[in-house]
Amino acid sequence: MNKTLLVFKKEYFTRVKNKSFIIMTLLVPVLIMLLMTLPLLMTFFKSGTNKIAILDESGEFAGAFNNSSYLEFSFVKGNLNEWKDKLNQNEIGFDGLLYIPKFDIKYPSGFVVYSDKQIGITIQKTIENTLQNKIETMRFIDAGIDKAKVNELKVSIDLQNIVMQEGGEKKGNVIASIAVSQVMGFFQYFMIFFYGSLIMMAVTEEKKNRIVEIIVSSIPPFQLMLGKIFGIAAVAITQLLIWVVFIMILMTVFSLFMSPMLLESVQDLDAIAGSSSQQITDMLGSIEAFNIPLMLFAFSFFFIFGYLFYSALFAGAGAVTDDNSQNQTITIPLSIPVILSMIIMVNVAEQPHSPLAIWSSLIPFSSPIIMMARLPFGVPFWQLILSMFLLIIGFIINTWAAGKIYRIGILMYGKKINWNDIRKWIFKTP
Amino acid sequence: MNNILELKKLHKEYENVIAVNSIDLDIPRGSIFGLLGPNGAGKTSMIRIITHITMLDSGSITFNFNEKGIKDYMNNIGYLPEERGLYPEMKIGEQLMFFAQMKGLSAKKAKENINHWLQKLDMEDWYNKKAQELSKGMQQLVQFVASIVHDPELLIFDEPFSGLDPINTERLKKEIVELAKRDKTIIFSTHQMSQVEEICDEIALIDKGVIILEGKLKDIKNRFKKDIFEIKYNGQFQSMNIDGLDIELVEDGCALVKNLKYYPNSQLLKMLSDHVEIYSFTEILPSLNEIFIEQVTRAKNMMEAKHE
Repeated sequence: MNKTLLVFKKEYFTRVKNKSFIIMTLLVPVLIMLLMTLPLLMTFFKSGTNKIAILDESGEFAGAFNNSSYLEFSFVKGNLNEWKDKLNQNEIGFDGLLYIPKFDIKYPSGFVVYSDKQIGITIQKTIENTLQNKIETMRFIDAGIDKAKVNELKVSIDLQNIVMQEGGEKKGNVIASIAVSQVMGFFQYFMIFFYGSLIMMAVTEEKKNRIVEIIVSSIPPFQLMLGKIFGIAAVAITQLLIWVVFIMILMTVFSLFMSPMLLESVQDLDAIAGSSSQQITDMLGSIEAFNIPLMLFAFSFFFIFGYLFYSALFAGAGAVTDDNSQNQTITIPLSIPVILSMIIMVNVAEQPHSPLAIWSSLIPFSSPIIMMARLPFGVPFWQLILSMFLLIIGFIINTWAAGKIYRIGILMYGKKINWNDIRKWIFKTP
Repeated sequence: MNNILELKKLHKEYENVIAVNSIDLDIPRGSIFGLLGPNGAGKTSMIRIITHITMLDSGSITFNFNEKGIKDYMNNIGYLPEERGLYPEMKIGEQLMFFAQMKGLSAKKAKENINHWLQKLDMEDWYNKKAQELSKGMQQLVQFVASIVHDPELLIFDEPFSGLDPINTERLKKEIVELAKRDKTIIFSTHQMSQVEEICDEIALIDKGVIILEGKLKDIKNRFKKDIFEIKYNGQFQSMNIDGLDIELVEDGCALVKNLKYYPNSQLLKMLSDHVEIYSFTEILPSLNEIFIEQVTRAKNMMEAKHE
């Protein structure tokens, strides 16, 4: 096993010391931050304050429009066509002209915003809401209803789901569960493909550089595979940790500088989306209501072993091929179970205890993703244990098979290898 | 046991080809053993079985290492394959450390041995160079060091000189002979006969997975001698017709004598001395190259005859 450790160290350190690794590791968090903040930054820089002129022929809207940080309204008087011309020639310093005609309160229509550019969704929604509110109020008055009274009588129901379990009741929250599970599943999917191809390249490395014979005459292939798979897993974990830390630092720095602006625009967005912060707090509350230590342990377990399971498969694939173009064709059969798992995962969110969900959370090919997706809904203990056990066995079998394939496939330079050959190598060689 | 390696009925078949056909072979300790044969004869297949890279179909391999108690016999073999390379991005020192430790050396011992060999071959400056910065010949020297750095008892070199310039070939040859003097056993696979004649003690000639000739180099040469002598002399042969001899003049004072009746050497010399004054008397032995071609052709003809 000393030799496994040697391979592990070699794989790990040569990669971590590699320039492209260092650049990637530092660049990705910056890119992610950029992607995350770009939409926000864009609204800051682009919008500034939009000035809207209002030509109100109905005379009903005086005082109805409130200015905000990015919208400034001013009422104008005169002829519509005149104003349109002025707007066209950019004489008046307005970004848009809201025209409110005289309208029939029963069938209100004919409201138009004239602008030289397409107005943003935020402006459109704000104006629509204001118009609707005002006209609603007018209708209430016409019908003799006190609007304040109506608002007072409005009610909002939040349905809570309490999951009955031994050891007490738990507050369940379907939305939170789905969110957590889907995010984890997707993350797993990303990991498998991102680092899986790295494993494949690592396995083909000796073959490409003609070092195979020296290596195979020094170390049994199973140990070699273990060393490589764990070495690259360690690289992945190192990279992820650096990313997480780095992003957290960037976020902190970012929020220090941006928080006043951010807060404002979040409030604006909030108002538009109509989501109440109450819901978000509820969601967070119910995440806390999960059995956190168990969840963390299970997530880490399925994450790591799911990754290892697929790594071993990719290693086997790498052993068969000797250049990267071949690598791509052979990853197709490997990606099918992962993609299927992603599809099943959506179904699991709706029916977490269906037979499909249970079976696919036990089979090692799909369990790393599906079990993660099921976890937030509560999984019977025996299923969890069985699934973990099968995943470990699956990993060992895959690594062993990859070693077998490696030992034979690796010396076959330039020969096309088919599935039948691979089957023979695994089962027919001693 | 005086054989470091004994192969019994070693057999390996690939889909349509018998690569190694039931071969028996003993490799004496401390010898330089030449494994000869044309391309595709089964040399590399045999070596890969010995080095545990491919599995044998049947037969047995026995190692008798001096150092008992080494759990992993892989650690006691040094192998320089014909298909050889290095990690292009790794520094020479790091690679050698990796290879040495993979063969079971401690980091300290590995470092010691690497320094020793790099110094010996004037390669100290290369320690921090990446493999891709070295020429092919230089890389080959590094690979040579990688194969011996763990001080194994059995060394297997597959075409070690291919691609080397004459100076480095000589250096390597010198090292190989020196290793043999230190009681290392060397299996040396090649199809370049001149090198074998220079350094090998014993040879096995393989063709189509079968050994067609095996033994001490000296014995083999004797076995294939054609009883031709070169003589240098003073005087004139009165008659070329001496009973049982076929004399052919090469130039004035030099002739080739074929001993048709297998007279003992002393008698032959006496017979010739009756005619001329002999300065030198040398038996001409066939070159290994001649034997090789003759044997391979003969084996081929026999196969064809069998088919007809």
